Amino acid sequence: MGDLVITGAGVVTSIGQGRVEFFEALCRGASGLGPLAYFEPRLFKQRSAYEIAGQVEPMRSSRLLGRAVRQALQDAGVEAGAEGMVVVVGTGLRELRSVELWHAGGAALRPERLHFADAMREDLGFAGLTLTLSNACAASSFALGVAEDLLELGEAERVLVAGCDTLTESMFGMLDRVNPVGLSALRPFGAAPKGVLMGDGAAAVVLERRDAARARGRSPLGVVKGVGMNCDAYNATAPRQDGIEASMREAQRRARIAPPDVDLLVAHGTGTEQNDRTEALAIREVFGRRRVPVPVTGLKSMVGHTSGASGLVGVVAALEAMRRSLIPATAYVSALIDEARDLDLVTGEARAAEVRVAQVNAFGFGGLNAVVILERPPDGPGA
Amino acid sequence: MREQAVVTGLGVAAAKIDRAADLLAALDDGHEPRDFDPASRRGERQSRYHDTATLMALGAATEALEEAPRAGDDPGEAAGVVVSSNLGNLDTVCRVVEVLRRGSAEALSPMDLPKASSNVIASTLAIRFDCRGVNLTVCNGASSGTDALYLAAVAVRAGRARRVLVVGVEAAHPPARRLLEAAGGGDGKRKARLVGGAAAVIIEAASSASSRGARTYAQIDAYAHDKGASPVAGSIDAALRRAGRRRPGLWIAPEEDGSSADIEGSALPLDGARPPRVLDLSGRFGLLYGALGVFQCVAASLWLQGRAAAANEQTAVLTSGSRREGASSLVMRGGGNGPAQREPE
Repeated sequence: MGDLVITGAGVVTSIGQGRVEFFEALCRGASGLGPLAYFEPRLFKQRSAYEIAGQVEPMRSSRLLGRAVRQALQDAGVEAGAEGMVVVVGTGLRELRSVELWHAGGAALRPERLHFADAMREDLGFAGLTLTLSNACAASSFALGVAEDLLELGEAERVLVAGCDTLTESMFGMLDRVNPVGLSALRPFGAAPKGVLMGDGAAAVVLERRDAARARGRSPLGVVKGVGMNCDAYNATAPRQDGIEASMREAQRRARIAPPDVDLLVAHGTGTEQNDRTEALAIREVFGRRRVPVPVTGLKSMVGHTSGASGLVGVVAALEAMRRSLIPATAYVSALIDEARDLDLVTGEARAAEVRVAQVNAFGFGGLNAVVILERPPDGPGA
Repeated sequence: MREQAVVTGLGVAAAKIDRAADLLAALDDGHEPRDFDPASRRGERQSRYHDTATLMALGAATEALEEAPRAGDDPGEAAGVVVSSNLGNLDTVCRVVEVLRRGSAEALSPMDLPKASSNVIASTLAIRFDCRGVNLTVCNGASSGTDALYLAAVAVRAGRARRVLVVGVEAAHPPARRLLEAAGGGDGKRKARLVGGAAAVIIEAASSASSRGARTYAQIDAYAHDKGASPVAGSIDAALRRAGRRRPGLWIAPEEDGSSADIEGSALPLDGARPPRVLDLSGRFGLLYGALGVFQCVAASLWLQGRAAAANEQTAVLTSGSRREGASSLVMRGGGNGPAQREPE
């Protein structure tokens, strides 16, 4: 089977929307952190998060999804009503915020609005199959892996892959309960205090066969060389290092590349002690034999942890990094945890660098791991 | 040559059905649905760390895996899990937000953190049964169970997994019942109440099944989804066309919009004088919602095992979804090497 290429991308985050504007904000080290916009702050130690403020509730996730999808379709030159397309949405929290507002606030809710088929049909006029996968913080990367398999089998001509998530009061509350103190930022691989902060976000890409894109006269933004998906089968919340390593190795095996080929690693980097330590050790183990350490960056200090959307948000950033030959810095991080000291973590300023191959990590609660390998198109990326 | 996806194990955890093999018999008896009592499920201890949906899923999966165990040298890396559940963790989410608003985040229990994530069922199954392959939680509304089976077959056929444990589960906790039953069906009022339950099937690569010397119930032949003006009929026809099959011997109807009017004009004549046999699971058991498609697969597998040689007897079509949401249909084929008949005790 020929290469699978991304021909359009969309993204909506607390630092901006649209892949070009979003990437420029990342390279500037913008921060989407702001005071809590939708919850009563006095219930929590943590009074800030990376929300997209100013929206009407309920159904915020569905609306963010619509915006990202619309951007991606336009970018790819594809109509929502086009035949042969399947949509796969990865989400950590679906419309559970709307469930909270229905249960505790009397908002209206139909059960079919928990998933995103209706949103795709009503908002975008898409009447094909929409699959909603609730796969925790790795969901949108799992969606990309499922899309890879659907195209491999000829089950669809193209797949719109998306991720979307907004904060839920219940998840924010529980993370607040386990974070030791209020945090001033999320710091991937940064020294204490450690802890995760949630963010709102959505992203979408159009994935199709290279020859189909060529037939439509579209230049790809990037090539999806492989997605590795697995499960630690270990613990409900804590990650297991060898499970994470296995997902990275599987992605590289599927992509037919080796660790020295990777020019950029977009880390999952949630800022928690467990993730950052485990991920740093796993990166050292998998990439350890390289003469030059792989450049690593983390986006969550700027956009927060966008739950299930985070993998695909990372993919969009990686596509732009390949296109612009520029790696955004992990903003607001200087002192590092011990395990990350040997990593080449890009900090301070954005770094000019050729990026031919990028790896994007996503690891979710319940040991869900999905790693994406992207390649710059050989005949140059699309504008 | 692509792998075929076959069914090699079945499990059920639901009221009045002690084992999967009893499912067809339970469809013939009239009975009143009652709420599932996890304590009554054989072999599964009540646990305050697991919610009801997870407990039921563990019970059904245990039965299916007893029938289709992994070979001793089969690594977990190629063993996947796909769960279908729409309402599974709504009870946790609603309870947490209530406690939160009455006090503060300090009043919450960290034990609830894993359950706030909708993939808790799939992850718990992976941990319990050491399944380290692809792991998906499908939350796709009324057609979700059928869609989950489709994705399991895709994983096997694409070589992503050698076997996949598929579980469909809904728990009838109060928020689930309020949300689903208040919404109303196609005629404005759902005809039955949400009872809930879990069903499990093992979907396996045909070569993996034969290298284990396992018998298979049936093969997954084709899938189609339709959101047009007549989605039930549309998905049936598209799936049968893709499977290259004509008249099936069995049709298992969706929870809503499963009347003969909904399949008018499709390849399924229902004039009573000839096949197919029609089964309506929720008419007997109450609403199963996201679990329905997997319950249907268990019923169809039992019906197909050791079927007579007549060609139309060897095909079953299963449909879930609704006119409003769209419908998914799965075509399954039997007539192969069925397992030894399970003797009733």
